[in-house]
Amino acid sequence: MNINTGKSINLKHIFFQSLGVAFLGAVLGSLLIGFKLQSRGISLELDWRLSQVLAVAFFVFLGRFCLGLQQIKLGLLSIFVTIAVCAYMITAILLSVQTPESSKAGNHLLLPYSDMKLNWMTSVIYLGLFLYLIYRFFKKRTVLDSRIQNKKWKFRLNKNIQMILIIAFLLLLISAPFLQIIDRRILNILTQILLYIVLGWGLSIVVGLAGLLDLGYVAFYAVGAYAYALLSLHFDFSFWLSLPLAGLLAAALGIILGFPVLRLRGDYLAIVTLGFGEIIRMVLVNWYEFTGGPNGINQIPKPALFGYLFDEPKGNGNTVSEWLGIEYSSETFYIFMYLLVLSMAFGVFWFIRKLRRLPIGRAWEAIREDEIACRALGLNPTNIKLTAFATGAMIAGFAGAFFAAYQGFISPESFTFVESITILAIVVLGGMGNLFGIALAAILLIFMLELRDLEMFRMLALGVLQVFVMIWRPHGLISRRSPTVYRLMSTKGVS
Amino acid sequence: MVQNLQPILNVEHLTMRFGGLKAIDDVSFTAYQNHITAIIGPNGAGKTTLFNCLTGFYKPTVGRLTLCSSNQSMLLEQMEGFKIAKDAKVVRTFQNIRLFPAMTLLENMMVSQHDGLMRAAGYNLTGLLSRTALGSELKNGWRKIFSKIGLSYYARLEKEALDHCCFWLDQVGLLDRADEIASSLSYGAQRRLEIARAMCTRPVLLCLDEPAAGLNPRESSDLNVLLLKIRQEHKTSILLIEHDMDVVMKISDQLIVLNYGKKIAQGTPTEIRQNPQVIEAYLGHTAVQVESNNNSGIHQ
Repeated sequence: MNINTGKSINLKHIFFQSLGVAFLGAVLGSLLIGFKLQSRGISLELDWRLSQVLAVAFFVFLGRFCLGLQQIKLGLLSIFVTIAVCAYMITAILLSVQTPESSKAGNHLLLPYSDMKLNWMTSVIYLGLFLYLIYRFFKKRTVLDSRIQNKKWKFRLNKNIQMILIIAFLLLLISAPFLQIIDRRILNILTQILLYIVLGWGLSIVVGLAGLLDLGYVAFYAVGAYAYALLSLHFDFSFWLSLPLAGLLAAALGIILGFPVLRLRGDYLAIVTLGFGEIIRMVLVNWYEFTGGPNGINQIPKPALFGYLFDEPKGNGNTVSEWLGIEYSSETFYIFMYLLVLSMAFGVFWFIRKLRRLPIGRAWEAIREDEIACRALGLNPTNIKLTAFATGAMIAGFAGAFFAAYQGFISPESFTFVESITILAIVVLGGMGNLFGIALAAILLIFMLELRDLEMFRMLALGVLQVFVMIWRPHGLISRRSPTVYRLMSTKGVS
Repeated sequence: MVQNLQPILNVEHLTMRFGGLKAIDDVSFTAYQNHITAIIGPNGAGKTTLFNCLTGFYKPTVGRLTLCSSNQSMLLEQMEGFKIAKDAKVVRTFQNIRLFPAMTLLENMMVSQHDGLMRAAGYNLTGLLSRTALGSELKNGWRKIFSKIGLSYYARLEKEALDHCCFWLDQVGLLDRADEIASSLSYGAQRRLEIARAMCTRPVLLCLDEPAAGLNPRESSDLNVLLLKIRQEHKTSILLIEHDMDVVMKISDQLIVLNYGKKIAQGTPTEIRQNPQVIEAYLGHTAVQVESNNNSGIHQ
């Protein structure tokens, strides 16, 4: 609580502060969404979307104002305002979605501006704000919290609310592909985001925990993808058999790369790993007989579900649609893949969280902090770095196998240096070791990259976003590092 | 003291050459069990180099370093760097403190338990399935099932390790701040944490590189108490580099004086205090004359 900051906060103060923030929002908003390219005849022209910018500014103002109200203990009022905005936005969106034909005339008037995506974003942000305000209002400290010194870190909801929120979120994630508003394109983006989240988590072991800057991470991704493609095409290995093999192959490659570069740190390590990534790509391009060269590999078999295929039914009863008794649609496969990638993401999340609490996780972080001190305490830096490399590579290998199965087609084009940089950007933006931060950063970045409304400006917008994030949150979006042990867990600490 | 003078460390003809420079030149000495052996000498005398040779950060050019722990003797100069701490149990601290700044105090301590915990966690394979201290808010029934199938083995050992860490944090007076980040500690507290972390590995020989540097008089007298306690209660021998004569003279049983890489004197604090060579090394040649004049004056 920053009530007692010395300066007395009153309504007027908050009002002007909100105005300032809204102005800032308008400036940033006009950079991000204020322009739209229009082709008129042979020339491209920029359109200034004033109404949208104004709406953004208004909502920013309202949000900041509600946060301010919370500060002067008008919490209930602010909660009402945000819930009103939320309800209004969501009902308006739902109305206009359900009747797309009739929406042109009446329903659009409900929405402050006509861009669906931005409306969704606003309502999600307002929902988040609403939940945050609720949380602040009903905040309860647990015993553990009060014992932990640095209170700024601790952000623990009431256990029950936490549970409900988590379950609701999980349900939303699982049911996402079945929702009306999620079409094939959005599902594709979601799957991609999930893959990038997993890759970011994998890289966060190497970069975030062990502190080894790896610029060639995408090489392991490629190895996983090609491993599945080649194994399934040449040896008829099923997806479920090739998946662990792809992970193991990538891990083995991680160890092979790890050995020679262990003495290196920082810039030198980055250069060597960069070179390694390029070597893998060049091999994929040039070893024509084996990898198909720049043409890539086509028609990679789709993974089967308990032996049932995702093909068009041919009457012999071995397809999923016949088995489940549903009508054949190509979407079924993509929904299945989304759920598969989602479950892999959960698995990886659990895996990394657990590893962090095991001795190896602490050793990784210790190596990042001070390698010499580790040696003096009897830790073997070689082994610890190698396990970090291998674990990170293995996760990338899994992700690669999923990618190959999902796309059905791979080529060296997908594994360029830019991919490595994108994954690294996700990790750095998200806050190095923090899993939630990385997930958030992946959503932001990939959404930005896929947001076609911005057209040519999206790379510019991405750059602007990154610059501002680095100014405001130099350690990443969520840079909080939660300790792996607490004193209370020891019997000595309870006394 | 005299009756059980068993050697713990034998240094024979240790020489370390960097190119043409002899940082250590044919140094031999013996450190005894349950002794505090201090190594002193002016700046650049080769004290830290001696430590680095001892703890495997440098490979000595010539010489033999024998550690005689309980029933076996090990040749330290032939061991890999990290194994000296892991197997021979010779642990050191650093002149410029080396903590893990972004981790909490307790985590700093837990890192020193790495080896045992890794084994307990089945090199992370069985550990993945077992409970850890964090995130083990299981109901009693589940806990029983876990322990039935042997999955709480790791949790039990982790708890023991945690208790051990907390014990040492308590010994250096930092238990209350166990969940804080190491970099938030003051300089003196960081020094104590480093010593506690080293002691956490249950060493037979603890090598301290200038533990009193940058401490105020009260803190350095606290350090004296701590070191004496370590020696007496935990049967750990201590090898100490120190400039603070207050610390050195009060607690050490044996002093070794280095100058320009050579050993110039060895003996108890009182012997060393009167050694003309030592006074010369510290205060210069003329000082010795003045001192001897004074002494002769007193004797007359």
